[in-house]
Amino acid sequence: MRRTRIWNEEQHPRWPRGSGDKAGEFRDKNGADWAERASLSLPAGRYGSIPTGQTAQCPVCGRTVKVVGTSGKLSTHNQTKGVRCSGSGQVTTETQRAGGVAARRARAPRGPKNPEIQAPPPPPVVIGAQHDHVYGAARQRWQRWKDGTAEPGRVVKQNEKTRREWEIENVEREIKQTLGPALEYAQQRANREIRQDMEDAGEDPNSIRARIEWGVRDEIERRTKHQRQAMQQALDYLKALRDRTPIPDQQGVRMGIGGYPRKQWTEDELEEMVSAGSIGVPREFDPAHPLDIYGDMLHIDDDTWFTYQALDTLEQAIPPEFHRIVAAHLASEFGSRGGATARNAGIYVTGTRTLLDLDQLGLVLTGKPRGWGKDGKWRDVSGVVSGRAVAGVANTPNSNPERYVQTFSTTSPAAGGGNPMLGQKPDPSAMAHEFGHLLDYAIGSQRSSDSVSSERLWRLVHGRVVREGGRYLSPYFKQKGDAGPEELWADAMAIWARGSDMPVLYNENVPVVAGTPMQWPTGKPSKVPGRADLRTVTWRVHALSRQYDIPYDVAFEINDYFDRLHKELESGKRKTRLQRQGR
Amino acid sequence: MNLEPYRRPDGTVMVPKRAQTDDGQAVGVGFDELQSDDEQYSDWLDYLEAIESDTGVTWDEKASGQIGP
Repeated sequence: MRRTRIWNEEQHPRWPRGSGDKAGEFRDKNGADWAERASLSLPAGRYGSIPTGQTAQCPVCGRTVKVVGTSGKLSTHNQTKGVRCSGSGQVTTETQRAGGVAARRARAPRGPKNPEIQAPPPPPVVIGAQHDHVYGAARQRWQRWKDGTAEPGRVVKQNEKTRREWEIENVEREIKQTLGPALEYAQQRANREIRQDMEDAGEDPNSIRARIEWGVRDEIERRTKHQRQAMQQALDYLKALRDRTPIPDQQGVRMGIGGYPRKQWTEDELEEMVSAGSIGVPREFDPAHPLDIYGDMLHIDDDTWFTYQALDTLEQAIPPEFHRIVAAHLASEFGSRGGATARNAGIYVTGTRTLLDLDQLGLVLTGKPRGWGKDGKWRDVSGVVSGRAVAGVANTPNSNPERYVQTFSTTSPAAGGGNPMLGQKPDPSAMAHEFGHLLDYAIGSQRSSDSVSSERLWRLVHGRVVREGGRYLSPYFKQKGDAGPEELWADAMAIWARGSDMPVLYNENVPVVAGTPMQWPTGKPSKVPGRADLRTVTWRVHALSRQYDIPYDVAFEINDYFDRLHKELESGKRKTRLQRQGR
Repeated sequence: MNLEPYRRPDGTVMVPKRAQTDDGQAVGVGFDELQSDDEQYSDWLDYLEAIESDTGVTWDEKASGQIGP
């Protein structure tokens, strides 16, 4: 979309008064929320020149004329006797010196043009979400994801291990990557706050005597109680696993969205050999928990909100059938490549580290990304698919800060979707985008070894989007070669997957809440003589239309393409790459 | 993902860029500073101009001719 959100969830009439921004049950779960819809329904762009408030002398007629547009062109003006001056539209020297990019204009505050606009009710709770308080729900979902990844799933593992060995590895990694840094951060923060308190009270925080009298050590321990408890529980659990003593019954500690109660394995379960399943090993697919199918091919690097939102996007937005296809593809690739590249096929998400820290991507992503500027670095890349088998998504300070999906707020910077002190903002939908690239290859072309986006049908759709896309069609999708069609496929798949089949309602005064479903003529003959053949515009089609600035009939074409693809894959009419290879 | 370009406080323009290794084995996306030698430089400037002038057309104007009976 071309605009940032105008409506906030807090403006909802049913938003609990006094709850600040914490009334998460009204938050968006999949991006297609009422605030988004209300924002999108507001007036779109005006076609015309932008006044800059500057003037310049025309080099042709010498008159002082206005400068318009971000590229700094002279406005259209006449010479004497009403003859149009040829200097109209020329770029001024001053603007050229500024690199062709004018300073950003302050936008006038915008509100709803029509005070009658009312927000529709929040969307129903979808599969996977819980009905209880949203924070608790997040923790439950988090635990479910973690439990899912603790199982080998369908991965062919090279080294078979007991579940105990497997758990020891998991807990060691958790202590090193999550609990340790969280405790360290909490201690630093507590120390900083106490020093501030002492200064406010007129005490010298550097004086040992003053610190003893203030009770700094006890105070730090009090303020980091939860983090220390979580660490202690993990250490106790690890010790019990190693010493083969009974596993302590732990309640879990509320800390960020980690510190969940651990699964209580029995002794017998811990001694089980965790064999891996291969693709052929039957494991019932649960559409309510589609991420389980990845098992340990899904790598959850930390417990930040960035990671949570990326997983939320995967679970809520992607049709289960697509998960099945990608999981089978990843499992077939697992360990098949050897060497230093792409050994561990899977999906990797991190909110605190970079792509270079995931799997063995640091060995693959060397040098400068091709086509990037002199300062371009791989650590600034948000998402990548390597070897068509490793998808990684990381939080980067370079992601567009203006628009990000926030499930709900948290006071902990460590869990706030990247560290806001570093200017980091979450961009979890990169997950859906990179998943789109994986899926593109996993389905594959029916005529060649390429991706499905290389097929003629999609190339025709892409060509039409480029031809008919308006000025709001991003140049990113107009790239030459395979890049444009591939990027459009991944992006459009993500939008199609997140979209809703609810009709766009239209009424002269109240465009969103009530009215008749918006309809669009198909151009085909109608069954009713004298009437146009019409299709109802859904929010999914509307979103595609707005995203690429294309007429509704082109948006319908994209929508129909993915509808058909999904239906054919689900019914088995269309085979995936693996199925065609007989694997 | 959110592929909209944006301006940093220092005035530089950040645009989404396809990132690729030399052997083409890894393909990704991230935001990089817009350079004047970028082959899509003028496209990005036009696009920026479009999204930054996004203030007009009313719902009725936008929807005219698109609404069925």
